[in-house]
Amino acid sequence: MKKTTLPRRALTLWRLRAAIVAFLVSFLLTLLLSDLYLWYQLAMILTGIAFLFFFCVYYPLKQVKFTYFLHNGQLILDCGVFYNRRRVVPLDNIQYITTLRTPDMLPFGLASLMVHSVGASLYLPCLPWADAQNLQEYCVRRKKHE
Amino acid sequence: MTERHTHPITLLQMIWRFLFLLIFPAARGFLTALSGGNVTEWLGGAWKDILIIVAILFLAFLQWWCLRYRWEPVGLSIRKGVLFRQRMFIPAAKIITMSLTRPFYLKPVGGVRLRVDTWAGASNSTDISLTLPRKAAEDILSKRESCLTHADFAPREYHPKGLYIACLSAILSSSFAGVLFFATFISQTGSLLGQEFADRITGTFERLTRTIAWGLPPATVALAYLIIFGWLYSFLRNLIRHKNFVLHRRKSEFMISSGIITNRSYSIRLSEINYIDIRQSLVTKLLGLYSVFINAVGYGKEKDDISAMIPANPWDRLQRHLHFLLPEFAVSPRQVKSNGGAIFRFILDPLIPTLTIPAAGAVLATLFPSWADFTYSIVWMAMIPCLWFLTVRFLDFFSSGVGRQGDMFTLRYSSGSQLHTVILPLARISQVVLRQSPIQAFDRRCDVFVYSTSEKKTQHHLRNLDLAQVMEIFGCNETNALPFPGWPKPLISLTEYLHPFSNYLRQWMPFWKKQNKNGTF
Repeated sequence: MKKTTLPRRALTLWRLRAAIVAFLVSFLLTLLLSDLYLWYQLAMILTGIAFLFFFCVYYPLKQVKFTYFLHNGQLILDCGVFYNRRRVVPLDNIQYITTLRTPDMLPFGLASLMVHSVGASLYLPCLPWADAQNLQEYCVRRKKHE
Repeated sequence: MTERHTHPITLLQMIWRFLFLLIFPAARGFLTALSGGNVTEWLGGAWKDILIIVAILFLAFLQWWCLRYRWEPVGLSIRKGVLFRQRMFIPAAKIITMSLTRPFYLKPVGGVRLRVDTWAGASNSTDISLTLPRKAAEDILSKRESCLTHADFAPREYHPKGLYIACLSAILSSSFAGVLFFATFISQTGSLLGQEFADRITGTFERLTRTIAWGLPPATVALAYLIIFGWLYSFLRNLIRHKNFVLHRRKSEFMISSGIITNRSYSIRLSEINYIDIRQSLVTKLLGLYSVFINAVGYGKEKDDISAMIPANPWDRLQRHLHFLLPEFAVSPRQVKSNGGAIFRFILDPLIPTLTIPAAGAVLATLFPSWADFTYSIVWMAMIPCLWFLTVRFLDFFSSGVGRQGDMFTLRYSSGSQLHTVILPLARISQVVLRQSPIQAFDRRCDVFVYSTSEKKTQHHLRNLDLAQVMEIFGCNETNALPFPGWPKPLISLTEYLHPFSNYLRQWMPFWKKQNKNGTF
């Protein structure tokens, strides 16, 4: 049983996304609200606070708390930011697994996994591409009750 | 076996599909009238209308003619389509639930609706639904039964008492459905029988509520009567639906039939039962009665379907019936349960409206004194469900928890106004989520969400259980964490807060594993 954590580059990707979103929001606010000085200031401050919150608190906590591993015929995922969550999926019940790569994941060599079982699904974001492929292969190709 | 046609009544369903073609005769009549034409002109082109009606009938007939089915020992094959031919085959081994429904309107023509459900297909509709002649449908069902029966297994039969059926109907009844029915009935009466008739009904209801108001505001009494009559209507419907309930247990099958006006029979493959749910409402809790429901694909799927297995029974008798009918699903004792301090986690949700509604009522009564009587009566009525919900959560606090016996879990929890005892095999668990809030982190406890395999997402929520015990019982305690027995518990470290599941206190041997060694289970 080897516990796998998210790589540092996943955090970099999330922070980059937060920065892009914050930049776009600021651009739109400047374009639309610059005449209303008070509202513009307020909106910009709120955007800044939200950006700092995601950049310094939310994403680092999300990256630190995220761990997954295989144990006792189950895929176990520890995650959460303020609430701690452990998600346990019996491997026998997994129907299929989808990998997802967005264009911004490609330079970082990352991929997300969507594990589908009967009546539930599980999302593993920003895994290293090789790990995602290995996990997908293992879960799908293993024999039942192995 | 040769291919057969469905019941000719299916033609009506087919005609319904092509009724949109009547828009052409309607449009022709409308345009004739608009262009100042008379009846003679319209009659001159009547052959076109007749042609369209003939086309509708012909297309419907063609569709019906091309719809054929065949039951073989290996499965059900269906062929349909005129231009786009479809051939469907459902292997018998994949059919989980097969049911026959005889609605009152199909009885005079001897028609029966056959429904087939598998793991595939939409979660809110039947995979296959065919209207067949009664004999043919019963023949298919009996052939399936013979496949699932074994000579060395003596069939078992269960007939519940009428009183227990009435109890089950009471448990399943809700005022909402009845109120919805009455509201639709009154609103539709106006459009069907005229506004005068609708006004007469509303007027009679108003006079009746004024006569028997007993000093209460008439609006409150009207609302109360609407809820009571709504509940009674729902109760009667459920009673009619569950009357003549009979359950047959065979080697690998449950055969359940019930109903007076509409007769329903269900054949469920036993190995595909996801879980059984022993339910209690507040009233049945006080009466000491329990009802058992089955969760299987296709059973209880449609609006008027039945989903019960044992209608209502005292605990001892229920255990006997359950052991007799379904010994595979045995209730295990509570091994992991909430601590005393968790009571607020249970009662907080109902406590908020229980305290805020009277306060809001008092404020409104002060602001609008002329409406005070009405406001207080509404507050009283609103308090009933709040107190009801509060009592249910209190009872849940004393009964909730998890038990395990081999690979069979027993989950006790409440959902809405019902107390549930769910018996769920390990193989039917789709996902377990342990969720720990920042407050629960200090107490090393968590909420547990168990998702069971089902066509729909089915969730069982258990509140405030010990983290280590939960990890152990669900087999995800990879570090062999141990609950801390003393008090006060040591404050959690940053590492434990960030990774509570893998940095729990110390190793221990769970008591159910010890019991296993002694052979008590």
